[in-house]
Amino acid sequence: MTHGFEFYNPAGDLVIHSNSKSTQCIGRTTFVSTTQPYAVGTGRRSGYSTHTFATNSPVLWAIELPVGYRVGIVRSGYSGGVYTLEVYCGANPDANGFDTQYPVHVWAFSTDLGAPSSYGLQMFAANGQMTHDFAKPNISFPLNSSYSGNPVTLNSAVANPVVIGNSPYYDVSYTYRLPGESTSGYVKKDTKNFLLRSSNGNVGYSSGTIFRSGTNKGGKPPDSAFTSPSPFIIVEGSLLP
Amino acid sequence: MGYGLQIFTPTGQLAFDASMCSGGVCVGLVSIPTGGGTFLFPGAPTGRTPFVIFNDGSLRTTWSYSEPNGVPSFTFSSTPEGSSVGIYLK
Repeated sequence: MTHGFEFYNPAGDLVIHSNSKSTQCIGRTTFVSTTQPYAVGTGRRSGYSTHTFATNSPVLWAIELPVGYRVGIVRSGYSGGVYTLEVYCGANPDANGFDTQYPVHVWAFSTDLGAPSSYGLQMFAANGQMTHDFAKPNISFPLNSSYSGNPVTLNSAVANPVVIGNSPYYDVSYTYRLPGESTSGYVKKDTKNFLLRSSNGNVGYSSGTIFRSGTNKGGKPPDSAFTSPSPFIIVEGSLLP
Repeated sequence: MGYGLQIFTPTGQLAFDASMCSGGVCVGLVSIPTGGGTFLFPGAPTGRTPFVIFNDGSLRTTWSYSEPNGVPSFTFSSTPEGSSVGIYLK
């Protein structure tokens, strides 16, 4: 570009551009309740925790990454200025792959920066709009980014990693109740990929069961695998509210 | 680190360190309607690797990237559910 501010990391990736939008944390969600896996008709659905957050802006959700827990957003709805989230934080799966659900912290990130700070470095786009205000308390920049969706090894500088990103797919598999016996009926199972931080410092996708049907009669349909890697970024969570 | 841009909070905590950041930069947080749509980002950097973060649990839309007249452009397909996404250039 012919003017403005650009900054690159040693790998040549763009980390600041004065015409891009920095994102800042605008608050933490309110935890409402945790629901464990539950029956739906003859089937069973995964559990989740309900969180709410009031804002008029599009936001990205940042989820804490406790070691050994699969995390993600299962569903979100927006009504009357309030987001209602079904948040997944699961571990210790049962025989059918349904995780037990645990509480987890979630924060909202927005490109709305509010009023300029009275000090520090600020940047403005060509249209005069402030795009960066480095004195804001919770601007976060990616410390790891998986633009391909493949696993990453956490940046050693990250004290408390928090992830932004979600795999927006689920896979469907069909299995006969008795292997190879098409007259025994079949069961449909939906699995979704959630992000898992391992004790070895890696963060990558790990699947959890989100639905298992009762027994259906007849020949089983073919499986459907929609999963492919989906981007995510890791930001520093130790300064978040 | 011994080089690059660092920014500290008033209490002396390191708030930003350019040598540790992995990129990219966010050019927009947008809500994709169920009919899909094209989003243009005039003034955003060109020639960079695009990626889209899906984040709200809704099903994916497919997307494509181009730079008509030197303007980064993301086109999203229609989807049964709208999606809220973060658009990045690395």
